[in-house]
Amino acid sequence: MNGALDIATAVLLVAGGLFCVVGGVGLHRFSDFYQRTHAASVTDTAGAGLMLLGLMLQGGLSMVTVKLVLVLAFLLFSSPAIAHALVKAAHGHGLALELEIEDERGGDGDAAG
Amino acid sequence: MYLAGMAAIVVTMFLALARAAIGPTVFDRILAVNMFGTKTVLLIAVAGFLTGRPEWLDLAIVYTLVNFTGTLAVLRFARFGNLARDDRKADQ
Amino acid sequence: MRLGVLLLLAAVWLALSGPYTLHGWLIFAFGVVSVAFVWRLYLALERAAGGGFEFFRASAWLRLPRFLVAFALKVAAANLHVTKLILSPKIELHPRLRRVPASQKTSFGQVLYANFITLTPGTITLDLRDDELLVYALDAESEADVMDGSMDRDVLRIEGDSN
Repeated sequence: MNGALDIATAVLLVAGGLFCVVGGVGLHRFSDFYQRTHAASVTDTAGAGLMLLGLMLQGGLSMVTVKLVLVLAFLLFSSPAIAHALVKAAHGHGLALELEIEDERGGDGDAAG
Repeated sequence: MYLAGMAAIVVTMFLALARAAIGPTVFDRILAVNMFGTKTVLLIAVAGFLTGRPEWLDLAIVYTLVNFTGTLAVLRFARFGNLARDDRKADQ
Repeated sequence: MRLGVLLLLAAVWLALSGPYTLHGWLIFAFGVVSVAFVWRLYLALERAAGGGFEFFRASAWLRLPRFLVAFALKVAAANLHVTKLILSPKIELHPRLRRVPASQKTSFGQVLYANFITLTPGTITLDLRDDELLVYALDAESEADVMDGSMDRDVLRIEGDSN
């Protein structure tokens, strides 16, 4: 097949894979739940984005690429919704949030409940 | 190159599974399981290209949506202990 | 605008299935039914949200590419920063909770802004009320990404003058 495209795909796949692993490592190195959500969002954006981009190069102008774009779009819509729902649920549930700086009225997360 | 990508994804899945097993809170577990699901989508997509069957992308799309709905359902269950609770009542 | 949603749903379905197979037209009928059903759900959702998704206007689609580029650059920079944090030998975080004004006019614009912030690694939106976001950030640098208001402007730009 096309040499340059294959190389670009390989680079994107490996870079995406590295970001995935970094996110996975962050899931273990960060010390509380709220910090870990940030590690998960690395795998959801950079990891998934780069890998799907690499696959799109292989798909070319075809249905395959359209489907890859759809997968990416769904991921980009669902991942912040899940992250927000998780964090808000944890906060409303009273899971302790370690903070160094906090705006006034900042902590009353479930007052609107 | 597909194999390298898949290897990275599988390593990440194991890391996520480990976090899901360790916990310590239920939210950590849900986060890890959701991440595991996202990686599954990627794994299906890459595997489709590896085996020369990009039709598997349909599965990936469906899995994305199921993963999203499933995580929200589990989250709701963790919060209310009941999937059928009426929000209008719950808000009072 | 509502018709835009209908057409979009139909296009998505046509792209994914479409009457290409032997039983194509039976499947086509299923497609029509599912599109109608999901459109009905959308109308209910729009009523519940008290407003439509103005982004199906043509002008918003024209502004979309520029927004996507700005979005990709922001997310990429934030990813590199969080990666650096994760891989640093000793993890030093200064988590903080800040109130950030969301100056978008439509609720959809505000939700888009909140999602943008959440999607950017290093910052997560905890709550949205009274045109203010409650943002949890990992450290000063992640916080600065949000506090300088550039993401707010990006979303404002694509929102345009939709009212």
